[in-house]
Formats: sequence, C-alpha cells, structure tokens
Amino acid sequence: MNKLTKEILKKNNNREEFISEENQEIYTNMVVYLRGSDLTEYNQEIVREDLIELILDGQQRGDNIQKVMGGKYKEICDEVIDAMPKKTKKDKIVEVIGTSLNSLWILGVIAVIKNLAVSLISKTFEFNFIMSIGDIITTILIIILSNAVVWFISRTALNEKQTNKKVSFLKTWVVLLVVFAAIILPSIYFDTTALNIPLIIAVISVLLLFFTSKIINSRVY
Amino acid sequence: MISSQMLKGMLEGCILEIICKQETYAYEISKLLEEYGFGKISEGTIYPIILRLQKSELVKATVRDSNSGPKRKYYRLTEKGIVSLYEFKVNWKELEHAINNLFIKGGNEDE
Repeated sequence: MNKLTKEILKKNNNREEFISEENQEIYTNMVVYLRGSDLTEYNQEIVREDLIELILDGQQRGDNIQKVMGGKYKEICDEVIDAMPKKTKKDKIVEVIGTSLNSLWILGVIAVIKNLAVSLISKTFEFNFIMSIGDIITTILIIILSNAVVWFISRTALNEKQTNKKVSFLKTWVVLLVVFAAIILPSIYFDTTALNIPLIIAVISVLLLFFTSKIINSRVY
Repeated sequence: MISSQMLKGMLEGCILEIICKQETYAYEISKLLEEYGFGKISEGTIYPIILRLQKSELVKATVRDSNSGPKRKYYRLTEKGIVSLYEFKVNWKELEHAINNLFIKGGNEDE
C-alpha cells in the first residue's frame, strides 16, 4: 500500500468511528464487498471516504443507512465498481506478488520459531531449518485457502442472510474440517525432508522476504 | 412513479442539469429530483452516477465544510459537462418528438 493510500485509510478509519451502531453492519458489509472487487486499494479508500460522508450526513439529518442508500446495497456497490477505474494487469501482478510474499514471510517466521523450538526441546542444539514435502504442501495450501476464504467472504458479504441456522452451522463445520484436514494431513503423511539448511540462513531468507514484501507492497496503488 | 428502468438512461442528463443550475451535493440533488417529480431517488442511487460523470470528466468535485456537520463534496459542471448537457437536451428533444409522433400517429386515445 503506497503512502497516499495509507493516509486516506487512516483518515477513513478515524471518520468511520462516528458511524452509528445501527448503520455499522451494512456499512461494513459494503466495504468488505468493495475489498473483494477489482478496484485498486486507493480507489477503494476514495469510495469508502464518500460512503462514510454520505452516511454521516444522513445520520446528521436523522436518516439511517437504508434511507441514504435506498436499500439496494449490492446493486449500488456493483454500479460503483463499474464506474471506477479498474486494476491494470501490472497492478494485479504486483498485488499477487505482494500478498504472496507477505504470507511467505509470516509463515517463514512461524517455521523458524518451530524449528528453533524443536532444536531447544530435543536438546540437539543443531539449529537447522528442516522442511518436509508435507510442510511445503501445507504452506502452499494455507496461502491458497486463506485467499479463497477472503474472496468468499467479500463476495458473499451483501448476500441475503442464511435463515436456516442448523444448515449454516453444519456448512461452517464441514468447511472447517476440510480446511484443517487439507492443512494438517500433508505434514503428517509426506514427511520426506525437502529442505535442510542452517537456521541462520532461514532467518536471513525470512528477513529478505519481509523487506522485499515491504518494498513491493509500497508500490501497490 | 417513473419506473427505475426508464429512469436509468435519463438520470445522468437530469443530474447534469441540476449541477449546471447550481454547485450542489448528493443529498440536495436527491431532494431536487424529488421536488421536480422524479420520486424518491436515494443518494446511493445518485452516487454511482456522479462517479461515472466524474470519470468522464463532466463534473468536478470540491470538498467543503457544510453548515451542519461533516464535510461535503460539492459538484460543478466542467466545460465538457456543459457540452454533454447540451447534447443530452438535443437528444431528448429528438426522442420526445419521436415518441410523441408515435403516440399521436399510433392513434393513442390519451393524446
């Protein structure tokens, strides 16, 4: 995220504090829906800024979000998305690389801590960074599934609410079980070592990933 | 009440006309449309249209303090917007003429 976008984001975070509790849920769902769109982060914040001011202006008059937006939230968001400039191919590539590097350095830190703990607990003090084929599959699956979850949440944020609570509860559990199985099982069944390097090299690699992700993400418009 | 499908194509031109008359903001546009007999048109409906007009550089926005609380975006027409509004009016006259012709020559009893 570049500097200008960060500034508007900060301003919007402060302004949205003034949105009343009554209007909060629909406003949040609209923003989540916009987050999953093809708009650049900068344009998402520009639209968010306008939405906040429209809602606050409405609140001032005693109108709730339903009256201000006319109730057709998804339709309005789709029209807004349609009216704004979209991400270019370059924007999309930079964003995917930035997000992937972010996920990689975070998962890298977790893996480094895990390997360090193993070395300390087993008292071998070898300080090696070992990754099995299963660990690599798990890492890839975590990145894919987390992106899929974010995409699903943003795409369904303005859908009609599920009325059958039992079905909704069961669906959530089935999805969670499949996700956990997909993440945990590979590391159990594919334990062949794929990578064995000194821990210090792993730490340096994670730091490199961290700084590269910061540089790339600062170029995301 | 005018159907929303019918309004869709017309609203851009009507909003341009309102903005041409005075520098204004979303809620005021919504109120003025209601006063002119367009029915209730929320700011949520007007906002994407204004975004489209801004994208086409037909209107420009200025953020200013309002008398009653939050800052507001006030919109005014650009040179390009004035030309576009003129074209809309010409097109509207042609359409009005064509529809009237159709209704009259079609032997509509109301005419």
